[in-house]
Amino acid sequence: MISRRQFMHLSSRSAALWLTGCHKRAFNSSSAHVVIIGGGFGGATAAKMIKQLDSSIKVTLIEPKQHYITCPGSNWVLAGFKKIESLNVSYQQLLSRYDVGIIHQKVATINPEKHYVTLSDKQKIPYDRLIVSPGIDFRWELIEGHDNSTSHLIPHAWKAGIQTTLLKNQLQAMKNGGTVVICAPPNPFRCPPGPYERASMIAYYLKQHKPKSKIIILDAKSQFSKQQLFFKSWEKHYGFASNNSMIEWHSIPDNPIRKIDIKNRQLETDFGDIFKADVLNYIPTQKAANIAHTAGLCDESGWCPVNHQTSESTLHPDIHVIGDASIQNPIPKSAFAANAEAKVCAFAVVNLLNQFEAIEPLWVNTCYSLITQEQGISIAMVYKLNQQGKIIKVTGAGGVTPNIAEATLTIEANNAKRWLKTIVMDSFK
Amino acid sequence: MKKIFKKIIILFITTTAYTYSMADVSGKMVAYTCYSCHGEQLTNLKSTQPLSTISLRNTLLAFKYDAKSASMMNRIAKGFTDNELMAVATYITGSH
Repeated sequence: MISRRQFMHLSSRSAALWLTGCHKRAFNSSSAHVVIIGGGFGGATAAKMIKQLDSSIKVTLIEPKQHYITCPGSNWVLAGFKKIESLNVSYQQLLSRYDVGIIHQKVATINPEKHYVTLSDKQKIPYDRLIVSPGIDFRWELIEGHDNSTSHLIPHAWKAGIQTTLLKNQLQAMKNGGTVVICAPPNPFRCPPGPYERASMIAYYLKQHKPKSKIIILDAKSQFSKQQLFFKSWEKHYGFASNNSMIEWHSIPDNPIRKIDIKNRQLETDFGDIFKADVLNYIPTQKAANIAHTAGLCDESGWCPVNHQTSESTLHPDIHVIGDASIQNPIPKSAFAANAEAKVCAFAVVNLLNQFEAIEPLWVNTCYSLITQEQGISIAMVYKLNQQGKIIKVTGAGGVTPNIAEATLTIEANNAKRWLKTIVMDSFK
Repeated sequence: MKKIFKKIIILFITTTAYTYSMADVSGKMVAYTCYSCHGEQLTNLKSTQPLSTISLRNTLLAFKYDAKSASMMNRIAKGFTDNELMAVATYITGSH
């Protein structure tokens, strides 16, 4: 049965057809070209899935990096039981199995009116529909004394790769008895449980190698994802809330960090409080990646508003935005969510190009976090679209790990490791 | 008379709104969300043993109504209507 939303959608298209007398894009899908910017979980999944749904559509993925390094699993590198190289993912299978064209270049500009993308070498790539999945960038203007040019000294490690290795090396060079300060960013940001899994993984490393050390989390928020599960697990493994706690959590939403003294690895807050670190992991406030801003795809929030049924930008027609850069509340910004959003987007793009009926979308998200190498926790949710076009959590679904019994947390940790393999396979292979 | 018409119109609007409450999602759309975690498993299943639609549906319903427990699937299965679980079981066993 056709829903009211589908009817509205179709009827607005039919009305446009009737008014113009002919269809603006009256081609069949076999002549259509979909260009995708960004080869992360969102972009790769969209590329693969469009080819799976309709192999006659030409798909081109534009991504400057020769291979991808997954953010999921990158905190495990800090703990010492995962090698950074094991997070490398090749784009070769998208090409060989699904015939996705891959261009390893940076996009310089997008021309939404004329429907083309200009690459850094000035080459123009025309598109019928564009999918933008560029991830995040940082709002350096909110902090004094630190920006991208000093991020090799104060690593954010919020994009996996060299940054992860820099942070790991600093932890290894730190003395026993040192202080690690993690600055957790305000909402919204990539991977809501990430800073706290990171604290767990650093604590796991320090407990074995530098047990006199401490981790201080300075949080721009008053609460965070899976908070009670993290607190209980930290109590069990890292003495949390005792006099000898390895992890301290300080919530400072009204007293944000304003200044960083790089040389002394020292932070200053709005009220003038000073925190000194031996290893400083400042995770900056975030926004959609710069290309989304220069293309005019962002609103005043710094993120990209979209129609949730199609992921099409509400600011530029024929451009879809998915993944961390897009506004998909209440779905969090995660690899799993980017994969789910890419699937909804792929269905929508294929249906629009073929002039098929729109389908009812659905999203699932799961975020696993490890507490130790063998213990893990999770949060999950299923999302649907309501009649007002808003994404809502399905009542009664989802939630966190049902109990904190050791056996349960062992299963969760095993699932977390298995999940990383399956999501990579589903997105890239 | 006008009042009666008004009532009928209000009734029509409210029942229409009710009829259009969240539609079921297709088996195909649901199946693609399964593949995020179970892609390989479902592909292997096809080559090793045939999977019956009814047994898959029953397993999913058992997760939904807590007759079977797992660390994750109970939380996920509760996000779907019984019809959607039947549809996804049909799609997966038919296409794999």
